[in-house]
Amino acid sequence: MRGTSGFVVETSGLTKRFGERVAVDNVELRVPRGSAFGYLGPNGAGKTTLIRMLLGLTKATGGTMRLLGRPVPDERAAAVARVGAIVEEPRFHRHLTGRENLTVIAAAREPEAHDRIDGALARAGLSERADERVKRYSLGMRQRLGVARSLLADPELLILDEPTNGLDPAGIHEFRDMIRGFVAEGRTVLLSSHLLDEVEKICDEVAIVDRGQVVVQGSIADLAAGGKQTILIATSDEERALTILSEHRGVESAAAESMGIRVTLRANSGEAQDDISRRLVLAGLAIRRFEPARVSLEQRFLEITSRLEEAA
Amino acid sequence: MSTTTITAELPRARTRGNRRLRLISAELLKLRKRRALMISALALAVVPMIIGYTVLLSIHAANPSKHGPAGGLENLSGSMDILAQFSIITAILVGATLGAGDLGSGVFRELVVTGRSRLALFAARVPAGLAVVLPIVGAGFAITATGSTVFAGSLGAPSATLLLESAAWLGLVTAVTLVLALGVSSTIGSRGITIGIVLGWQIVAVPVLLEIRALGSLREGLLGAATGRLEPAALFDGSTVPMSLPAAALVIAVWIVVPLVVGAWRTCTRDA
Repeated sequence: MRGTSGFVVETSGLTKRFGERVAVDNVELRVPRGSAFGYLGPNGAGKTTLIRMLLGLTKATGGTMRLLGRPVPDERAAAVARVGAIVEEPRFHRHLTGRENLTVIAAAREPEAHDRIDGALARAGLSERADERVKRYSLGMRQRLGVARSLLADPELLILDEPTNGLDPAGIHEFRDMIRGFVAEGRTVLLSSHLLDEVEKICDEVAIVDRGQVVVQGSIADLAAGGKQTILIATSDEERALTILSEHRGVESAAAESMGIRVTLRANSGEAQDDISRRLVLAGLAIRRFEPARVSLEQRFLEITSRLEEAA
Repeated sequence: MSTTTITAELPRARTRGNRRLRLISAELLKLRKRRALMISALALAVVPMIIGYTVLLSIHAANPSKHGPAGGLENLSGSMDILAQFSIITAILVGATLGAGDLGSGVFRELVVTGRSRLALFAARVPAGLAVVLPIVGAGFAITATGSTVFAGSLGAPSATLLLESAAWLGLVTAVTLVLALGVSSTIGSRGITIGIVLGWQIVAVPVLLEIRALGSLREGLLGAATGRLEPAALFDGSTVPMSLPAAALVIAVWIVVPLVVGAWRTCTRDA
C-alpha cells in the first residue's frame, strides 16, 4: 500500500561509510509531499551519496529510508517506479538519438512509459532535435534530455542532483520555471545543489547539509528568520554613524555597503533598534533609511556553517 | 486451479512476456545502432568467405588441371575452419559490448533507477546478443554452404545433413563464446579488457593448451576440446582431446552456466 504520510522521503539514522570516512552521517530527512525541496550543501557534503542510497544505487551502512511511503530497499522497485531522477551528470548512449535513448529507458519501465516519450521530449523542449544522436548534444541539451527521461515515470517525486550544471543563464531560468511547473502539477521535487541562490529561488523548503550531517531543515522563510537580525541604515554622515554603531553594545557588526550600513544585532530585540535610532538622532545625524535587511539563505548558510567550524 | 485463476494469470504472463520482449528489443537497438561494430562483425563473418571462394574460383579457372573446383567437402572443411575462428571473434566483440556497454556509457545507473530488476536487465542481453550474432555468422555460413555446393564440380557436394550439422555446430560455438564474453564483460565492466582476455584465451591460449599432451585429461575442461568433440566428423579430423559425448556436453554446459551466473551476480551486486 502506498504511504499516505505527508512525506515523500523519510530517513532515520541514515548512514553511509566508505571505510573510515563517513559520507552520510545519521541523517534524519523529511521531504514534504508537493514541495520543491532543496538539499543544500557544499561539494563533498554527502548529497549525491544520500540520493544514491535513496534510489538503491548503493547500499546504506545503517538507518532506514522510506520513499513515497514504501520502505527501501525492501519495496524499492515499487517505490522508484514513480520516481524520476537525474543523478550527477545525466548519461546516455552517445551513439543513439535522444528519442532512442528514451526508448531504451521506457523499455525498462511500465508499458505506458513508451507512450510518454513524445510528451516528455516536448516538455523538455527537445522535439525538434530528438532524432539527432546524443553525441551532438550540448551539455544543456543532455540535461534537458535527462529531465525528459525522468518524466517517463510520470513521477510523483523528481530527484534532481545539481540539475543546472552546464546550463546558460537563459537555460537556468527556463529550468526554474520547469521545476515550479512540476510542483504546480502536484509533483514533489527534491533538488540537490551547492548553489544557494538556485535553491533559494526555486525551493519552498530546504535542508542544509554539511560533512554528511543535516544541520538544519525547514522552510526557507523560517530558516532565514531564525538568523540574527540585520538592519540597513543610511544617514547623512556614514563615518560618524559607523563609529556610533560599532560602540553600541547591542551591535555585533556594522559594515558600510552601497545602500548604507548593514548592522547585525546581537539579539532580536526592538529595544536595541530603538536605542540605535535614538543615539543617531542625538548625534545630529539625519536618518535616511532604517529598515530590516532581507536575510538571504546564503547569509544564513554561512552563519550556520561558520558556527559549525567554530564548534569543530 | 480454477478457471478464474487461469484467466487472470494469462494476461499477467503476457504482460511479463511483453516487458521482457521490450527489454530485449532495447538491447537489440543498442547493438544495431553501433555501426562500427555491425560493420566489423559482418566483415569478419562474410568478407573472408567471399574472398576465399573468389580466390578458389579464380585459381581453378586459371589452371583447372592443377587446382580443383572451389566447392566440395574439402573446401567446405577449410572454409568452416576459418569461419569458426572469425565467428568466435565476432561473438567476443558483440558479447563484450553487450556486457559492458551500459556500464561504459553510464546508462546502467539510469536503468537501475527505473526499479527494473537487475537480473532482468542482464537476462535480456543473452537473446539480444544471439539475435545479432547468429544471423551475421549465418550469412557467412550461407556463403560457405552455397560455395561448397554450387562450385563442387567433379568433387562430391556436401549433403544437406552435413550442412545442417555444420550450421548447428557453428551456431553452438558462436553462442557459447558470446555467453562467455558477455559474462566476463558483465563481471569486469570493461569492453576492451574483455576482448583482450577472451580473445587471447580462445584464439591463442586454448589451441596451444590443447596441443600440450602432458596436460592429459585436464584438457577436457577446455571449451575448445568440448566443442571440438562435437564437430561434424565428416568434415574434420575430430577432436585432439579424446572425450565422451556426455563429458563434452557437460563441459559446454559449465562454460555457459558459470559466466552467466557470475555475470548476473556482478550485475546484481555492483554499485550503479
